[in-house]
Amino acid sequence: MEHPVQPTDWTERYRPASQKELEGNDSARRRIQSWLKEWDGGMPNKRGLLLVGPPGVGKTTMARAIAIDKGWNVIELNASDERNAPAIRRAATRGSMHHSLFESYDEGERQKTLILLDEVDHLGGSFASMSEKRIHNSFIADEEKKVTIKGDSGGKAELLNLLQKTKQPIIMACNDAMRLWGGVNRRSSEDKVKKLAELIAFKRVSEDARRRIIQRVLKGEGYSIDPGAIDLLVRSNAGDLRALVKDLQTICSITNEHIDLNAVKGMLELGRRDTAVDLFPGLEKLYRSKTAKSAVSIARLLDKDPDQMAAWVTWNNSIVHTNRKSIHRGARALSQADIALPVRFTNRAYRSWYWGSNLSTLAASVIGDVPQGRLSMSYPGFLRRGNEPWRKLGLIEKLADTCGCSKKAATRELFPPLAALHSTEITSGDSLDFSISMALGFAGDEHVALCGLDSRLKATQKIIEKYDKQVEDEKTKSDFSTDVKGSSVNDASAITNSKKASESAESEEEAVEGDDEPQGPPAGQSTLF
Amino acid sequence: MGMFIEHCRNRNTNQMNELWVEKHRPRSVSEIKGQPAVVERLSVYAQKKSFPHLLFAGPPGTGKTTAAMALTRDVFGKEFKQNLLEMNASDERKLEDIRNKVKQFARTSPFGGAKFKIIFLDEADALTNDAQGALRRIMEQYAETCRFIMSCNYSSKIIEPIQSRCAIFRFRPLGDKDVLEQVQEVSASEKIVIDDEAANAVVAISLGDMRKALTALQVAAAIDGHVTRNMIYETTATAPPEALQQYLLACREDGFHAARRRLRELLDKFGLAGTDFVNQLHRELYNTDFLSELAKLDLTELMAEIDFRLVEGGGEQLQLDAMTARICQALTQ
Repeated sequence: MEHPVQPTDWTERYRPASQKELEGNDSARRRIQSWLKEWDGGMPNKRGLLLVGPPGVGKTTMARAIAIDKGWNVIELNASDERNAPAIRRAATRGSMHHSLFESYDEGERQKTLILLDEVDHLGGSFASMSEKRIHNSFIADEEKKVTIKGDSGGKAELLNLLQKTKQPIIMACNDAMRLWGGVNRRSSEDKVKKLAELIAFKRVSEDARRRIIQRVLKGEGYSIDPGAIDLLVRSNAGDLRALVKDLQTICSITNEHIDLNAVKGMLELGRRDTAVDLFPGLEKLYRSKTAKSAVSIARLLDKDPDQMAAWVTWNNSIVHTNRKSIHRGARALSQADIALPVRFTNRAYRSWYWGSNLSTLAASVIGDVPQGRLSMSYPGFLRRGNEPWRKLGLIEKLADTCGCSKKAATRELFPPLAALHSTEITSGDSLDFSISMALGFAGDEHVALCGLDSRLKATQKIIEKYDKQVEDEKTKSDFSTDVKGSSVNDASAITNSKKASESAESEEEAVEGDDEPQGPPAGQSTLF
Repeated sequence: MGMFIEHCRNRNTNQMNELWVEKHRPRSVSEIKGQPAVVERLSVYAQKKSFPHLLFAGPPGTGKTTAAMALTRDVFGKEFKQNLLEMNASDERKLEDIRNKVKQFARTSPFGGAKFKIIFLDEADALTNDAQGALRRIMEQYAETCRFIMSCNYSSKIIEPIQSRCAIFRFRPLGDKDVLEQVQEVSASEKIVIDDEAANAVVAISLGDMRKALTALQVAAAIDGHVTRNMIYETTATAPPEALQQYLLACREDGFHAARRRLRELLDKFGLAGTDFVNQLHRELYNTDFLSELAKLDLTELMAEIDFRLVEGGGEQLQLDAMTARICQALTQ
């Protein structure tokens, strides 16, 4: 991929061509080096790497640099390509299983082909696999019999298949690993992938590395820069190197040879990125504004849509306001905003956005005075992934999935008795009794969520560890007993196991019913199992 | 409304042949009104005939589409259409649309000796997350032959990886001065007479949205070549601020019956629907001096509730009476 002409886009022009030129993330790079060494000697246990990290820290660049340094060929599949099961099979899996097809001989040495799967978190669908017949039928040339497959269905399952069978190195990259695992069966998907691929986390790039990059780019372009300007540029960037180089190009496009502080300030004023926008000072201004008019004009500059605005104010009102009256006043207004907002879906009445944003803005500002000094506002917990409410949601989904009932039924009828069984206060239950959770196929963190324990506590972490260890032990036991033939057989046995166990869980529950359960299970419950 | 249609028939209606918003849309970056910081930078791009991927963020009617099209014209000249793909992301926002349409266009080389093509994605915040994900590598792989311009109302709806690939331009709501200037320029070029207070009324009802302003002007001008303040309010179904203030004052001073009478008059005279009235009254609410800020919140809640009931099918007279009664009580306490 040699460019005869220099690319006009600086992020491409200065993309490191070798691992030696990479900046930041030293520990991640060391782990990748040891993985590469294993390939020199043959084939490592885990043939894949999963690079996880925010944008612009060099994940894709790393993969490309490895290929260049090693002289490997590259096959790349990213989110702009079709990535359902047949597409991945055609592009990667088939060839990767053979040494001969994918390896060229260069000066007597066998050259490998690196399979680069970029943006795997944007693979659609779940890990559910597609039947071999459908995959096969989609390859048929006969147009009448040919099956067309939409979207990315089966893509994730094929990814696992590829990782298992490949004889070639595979590098996957993504921003959000949680998104790759998906909501349903999160933990087991995570386990499956981690068994086959080494997970390496990339962090945002440090200030020093950012400074070195600025200097390198400007030297290459023949620009000079004031020390103050470079400081501001480094500070205002969130550790995203691509954004940094892009900003440099924007600044240089309207200055000649020398960058001063004003040039940087001008760029920042016009186009701050979301990660760089300091939302909190704006929010604080909103909370301190005395009139409805000024509050609304400040809110307009916050770049949050009315739904987000209502969420932010709801979360922070209880932190900022201490007066009982103010909280009541704000809550009333927010409740009205909450009713107004969804009307745009039910009645296509878009002006409901107007009420939603006005009400949530006023609910932050005019309801009462806020304390002097710094306000300690925070990011709304319920918008953040991986926290307690999210985990409960995952738990409910899994419960509904295992027991074949709706999520609503799982929430209302299955969850309360199960939670009660594990609660020390209600039934003198024991959070160390793993039998029910294991029978239902829960992971450790889901078990503690069921027990209502705070996962941030050390004691809870210990329970999770213990749980996971016991699950692991059980697995090895059953592996011996079922005579390993392949993963599909294992999965099937796991299902029958959990079915049996859930029957026993049910009978256990009935036994407890006599123990005066407050949220007593409704009569129809046994039919749900 | 009847009067309006009658007039249109009688007049030689060359005013209505073409939408003024389109006719007077700036053809070059240098003609854009307002947004000085944005225009300064875009003119450099226009001059060099080259630019990085761009992301325009800002409220509706602030000139994002105009800026994108003007820049395209400046770079490509007259034959700009053959190297431009314009997509409204709220119509075509699925993963397949990106993979098929956008990628196909991006991977073919530009026509007629142009250095690159331009893909303009309007309302890009309506793209699904997966569709945005698919854009990322396209933006990088074809950066040499293809530049993206994206517009959105809220940049927080654009995923971080795309923001990191773009130079971002934030469009602010247009100032009254910018709108006024454009209104007067268009009036002059269309050879209509417009009173100063009428021009100010156009600015007031536009709420910083140039599209609204020029449409209002054109509709009024279709009735008569001499545009007055009253014509602007009558043709746009908007009650003038003083009339709304008088209604609020009547609620406070004269009681329910008088206020209700005033309300009915307003609805008839300006042809307002109930929900229009609630909305316009609220926009005027923040300017009222005799209300405390907390009372403004009370009334906002009330109006949101009444509007909600109207949208859900509540009867107009009954709901508006209920609102008037509640405002009367709130203001006399």
